[in-house]
Amino acid sequence: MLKELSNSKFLIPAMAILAMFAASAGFYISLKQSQNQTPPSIELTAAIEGLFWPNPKKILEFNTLDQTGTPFGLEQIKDKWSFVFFGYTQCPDICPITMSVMNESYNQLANENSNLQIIFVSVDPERDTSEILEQYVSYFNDAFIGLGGNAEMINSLTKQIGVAYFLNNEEQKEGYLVDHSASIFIFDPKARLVGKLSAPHESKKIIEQFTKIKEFINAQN
Amino acid sequence: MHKIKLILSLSFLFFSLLFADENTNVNISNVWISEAPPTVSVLAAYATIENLSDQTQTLTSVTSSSFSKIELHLSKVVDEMATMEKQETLMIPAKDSIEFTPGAYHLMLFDPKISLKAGDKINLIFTFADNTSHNIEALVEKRNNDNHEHHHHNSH
Repeated sequence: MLKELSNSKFLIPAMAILAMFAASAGFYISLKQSQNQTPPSIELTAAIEGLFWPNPKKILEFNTLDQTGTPFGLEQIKDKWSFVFFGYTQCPDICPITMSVMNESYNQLANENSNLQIIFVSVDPERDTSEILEQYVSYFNDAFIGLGGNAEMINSLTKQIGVAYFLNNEEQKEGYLVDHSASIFIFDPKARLVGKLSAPHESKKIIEQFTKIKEFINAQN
Repeated sequence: MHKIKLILSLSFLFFSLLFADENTNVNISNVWISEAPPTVSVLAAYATIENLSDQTQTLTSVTSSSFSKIELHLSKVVDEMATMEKQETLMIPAKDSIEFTPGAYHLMLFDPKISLKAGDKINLIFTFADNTSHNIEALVEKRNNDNHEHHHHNSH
């Protein structure tokens, strides 16, 4: 067998196979090196879960009403960090979970983030009046903001962010359900949609993600 | 010695058959109702249902004089959208259990007769396909997401 291997008959194919190995290994190494040459900022953004970068969407004027019935638009999100969640007050499970998790997060973040505001946007204009929104948001935290208005007003914000909502069982006149986004959206002080926190929500995760996103955005400015 | 063991186990079998009632098939525990803002007319309740039997047990309804209607629902997040699916019944496989827990299976309680506050106790009647019923006292509690152990009191 050894004798046969040393024959030129076997040596040539063996060398050919070796050469192919060497070539593919070389190609692999050069591929790896080219991957490592990508700019560091893109690598960083990939490491921050939920960050929209580059080209975060700039929020344009919108015209909702807050829980006191006062107009709430673009001016009210400028110079602030905002957590924005879309839901409805008669939602028994996901919405109150998210609201209470946002309360826990806010209580830990508020000290070092005096310009952080938590916004609940109702996607149930039929039932959620200003009075109901007022009682709803203040139950979770007096500092929270509840936005509503008519469907057109609500859509002036939802359409910009690209969140859909629709009635789940419309045949029921009362007690109908609304399907809505489960995510929490983050606006930066320049009124840009810079991030999204995906469900299931936990205060520890929210605080970690938000802190990373904020550090990154502040470093770009 | 063997005889004694046999007699003991036979008598155990006899007595367990004699006293076997409807309540030995399932064990319902950790039953709580989440407190909600006063304007909210749809509340959620959570529980653990354990099937101790060798057969599938099917929960067919939950009723209470404190609410106009109670439905079984499953919360889901599909493609980032939150949705709820009504369940007509709920099967609990043999020797298995089902958790009604925030963000998943829950009871939807419609139109509370009175505004419920943490600390209130409400009776819920769980009825199964074999027509057995379990009258369970549920405690109203505030949501506490970071400490799930908080809710692991036994109310059965």
